[in-house]
Amino acid sequence: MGCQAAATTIDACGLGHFYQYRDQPSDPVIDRSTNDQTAFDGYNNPQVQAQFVSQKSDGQISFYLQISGITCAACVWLIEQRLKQLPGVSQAALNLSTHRLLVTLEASRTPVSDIFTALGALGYSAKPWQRTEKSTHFEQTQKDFIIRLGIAGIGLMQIMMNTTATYIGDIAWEYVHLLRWASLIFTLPVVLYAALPFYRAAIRDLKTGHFGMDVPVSLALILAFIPSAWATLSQTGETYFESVTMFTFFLLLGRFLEFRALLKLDHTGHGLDDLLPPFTQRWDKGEWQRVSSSELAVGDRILILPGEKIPADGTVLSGESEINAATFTGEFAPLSVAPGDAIQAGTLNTDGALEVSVTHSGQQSSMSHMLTLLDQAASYKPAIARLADTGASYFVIFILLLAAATGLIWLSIDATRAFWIALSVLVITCPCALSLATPVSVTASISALRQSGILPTQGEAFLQLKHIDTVIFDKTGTLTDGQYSLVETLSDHTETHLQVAAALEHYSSHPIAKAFTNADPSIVATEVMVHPNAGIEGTVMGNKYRIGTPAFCCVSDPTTPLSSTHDDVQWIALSVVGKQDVIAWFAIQDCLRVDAKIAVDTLRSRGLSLHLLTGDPSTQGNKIAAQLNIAHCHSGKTATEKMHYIKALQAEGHRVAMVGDGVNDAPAMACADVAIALSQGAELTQNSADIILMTPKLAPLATLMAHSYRTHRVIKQNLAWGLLYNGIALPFAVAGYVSPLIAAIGMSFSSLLVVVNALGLNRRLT
Amino acid sequence: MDILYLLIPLTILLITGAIVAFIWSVKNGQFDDLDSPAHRILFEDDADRMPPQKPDKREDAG
Repeated sequence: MGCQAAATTIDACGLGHFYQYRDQPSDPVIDRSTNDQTAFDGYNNPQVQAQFVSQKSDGQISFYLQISGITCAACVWLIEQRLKQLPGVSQAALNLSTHRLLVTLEASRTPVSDIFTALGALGYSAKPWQRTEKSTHFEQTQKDFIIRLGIAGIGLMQIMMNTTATYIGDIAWEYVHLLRWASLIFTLPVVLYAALPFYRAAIRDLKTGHFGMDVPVSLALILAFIPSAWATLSQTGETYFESVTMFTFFLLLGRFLEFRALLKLDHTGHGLDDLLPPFTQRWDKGEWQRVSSSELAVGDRILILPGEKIPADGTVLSGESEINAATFTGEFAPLSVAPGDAIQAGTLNTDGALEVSVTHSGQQSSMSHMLTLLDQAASYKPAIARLADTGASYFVIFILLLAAATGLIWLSIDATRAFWIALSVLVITCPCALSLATPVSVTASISALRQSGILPTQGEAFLQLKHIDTVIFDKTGTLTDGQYSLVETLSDHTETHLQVAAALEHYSSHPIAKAFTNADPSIVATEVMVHPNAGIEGTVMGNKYRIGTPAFCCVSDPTTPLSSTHDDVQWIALSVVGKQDVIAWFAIQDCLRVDAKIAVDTLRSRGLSLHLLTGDPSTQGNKIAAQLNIAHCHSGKTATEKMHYIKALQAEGHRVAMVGDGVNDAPAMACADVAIALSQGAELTQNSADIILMTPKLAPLATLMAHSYRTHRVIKQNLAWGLLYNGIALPFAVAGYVSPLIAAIGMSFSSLLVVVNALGLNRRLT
Repeated sequence: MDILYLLIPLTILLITGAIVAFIWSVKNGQFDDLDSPAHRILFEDDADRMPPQKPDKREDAG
């Protein structure tokens, strides 16, 4: 099942509008080796269903699915329309923010597995979703934010109206008084509820002795509100209700946009459960029974069919097969396993059925251990936010001291004005523009990057890129695309021999086999025997051939030829059984990504030092490094060695960015200053990566770098403006020349300028 | 201008009502998906309720 099958399904279901609605190209449909209709039957098992399905009173059942592969709103339409076509489905609602699908159906008319099959046919993969502590927390935080924003926004509108009336002048004092009372009532929920997060953060800051922006924000809110309230009650002085609510609303808005950016990145699945299959077959009471993978215990006998993921660590009891451990090691070349071999949870069984005895269930598996290692490594990460706040912290202390000093000095000059002038200083220098300068720029940048298929998962991580001086690349799946292709054929009868090779390789699921495409499907191999890790034997057009390693082909002279054009290839031999000569040589290559050279060159031209670290012990790493002109190359490195290598570089004072994809990179990525992952890699790595490239290309690296520099420039402009404004306004405020109205306008204007400047970063990148 | 003594308290009541309704709608899950409603309005999911069209106009659907 590939792109074509998905397109045919869409058309056949009368859902061709999809192509009209979509505004993002869809991801290619990945063949998930689930061609057979029974692949999802396990979801009909009541035991499996008990974990995610809830029964409704009217006999219907409802459940949530986490969908992956959604690119834009057209996917929402397509999925909902398709599922509603199925009999008995009364509800299909997909949340575009969380990629969560709610389905309600009559199980008697449509089995649950049909939903999975239908989604699979459209090219989406789904898995049951259950409420977790984290998702509940995110949901609650979002609701909190929206309520606070709503209250602050509604309050702001009303208070602005009231204030405008009083500023217009020519209004009797009794009405001004009435409007002030109304403003006070609208400000109360804003100050007491909407602004609560600022107070909480300020108290936390004070407890840790670290002065963030929340301290002066809270102080200004309280100090502006209490005297304003007093002025209303005592009918004297000025009120600043509009400043209080405006301040709260815009700051909340900035934080909400930041939170949303983070939330969006969280919808991609992560964690151990995603890497393990939901159910498996266990030998129980004399027969194979489908059970949930979480039920497996040590010593259980389980059956893993080709194309299935391995649910627990175990030892092979019987059967021979190949295991794709790409999610685990990042290397795509398969490992062959035989009885007695150990296999790991989360790897994929590609060739034959395996009977396995469980040695470690999911939570104790090596995959789980890898996750723990990841957590430990992540704690080494320097806190970026702390660095960014250092300067701000000093500024905040300066403002507080200055406002207090101004108040004290004015006490001796004119005691009645002292408090208002001190507050004026606090309001006008309130680092609104300064505090908005960074977050708004970052949010706008993230938005622009997202549209270009680059996802920064940590708000400020990509800012760090500017300080990076060393970039470390992984090889397989990062610099190369992890797919083998045929680059050269040495043969007297190229076409015939390619035909033979393709016919034979058709029977293997080894990644190398995909390099051979069958031009004429009428030519088939018979009497085929697949020898894992060696080759294939079979009869094609009356002759018995062997294809595979030179040794397997019984070649007398196993020296492989030298390629005229490519020097980093693997040679596959084709021979006639019973003869000692190789009739054809095929050069197979795990190709460099087409844009690897450009991307690497761009990075080098920015003066970055480039390194290549690979787990592959062969010489291919060195060859690729030479090809791309990467100075430092180290092959055969384990996950821990990679981690130490990065730490050693960091100890020398280098700032290191790591570009990779496999899970074995994960600990290294977590300890790098900035971790960048390619989206086709294992989901787990994406979780530890700071930045995810959503397209399997390296070219976005250059865009990312350029954008990081641009964002830095805008932040600098904004900070410069904020400082300039504060620097000019401050002396006047201290001298008592700034009226409250001018303070409020000045503050709003400077903030507005900063926001407008930052939103320039929001434009789609080229 | 004495009307303000009626209108301002009335505003306060109305706004209070609006805020209560807003909080209810947020807690009720109406703001859970902030992305797709903007697009959903453009989708033609009412094809079955539309009067039949000439075939040549529906060519793009295929």
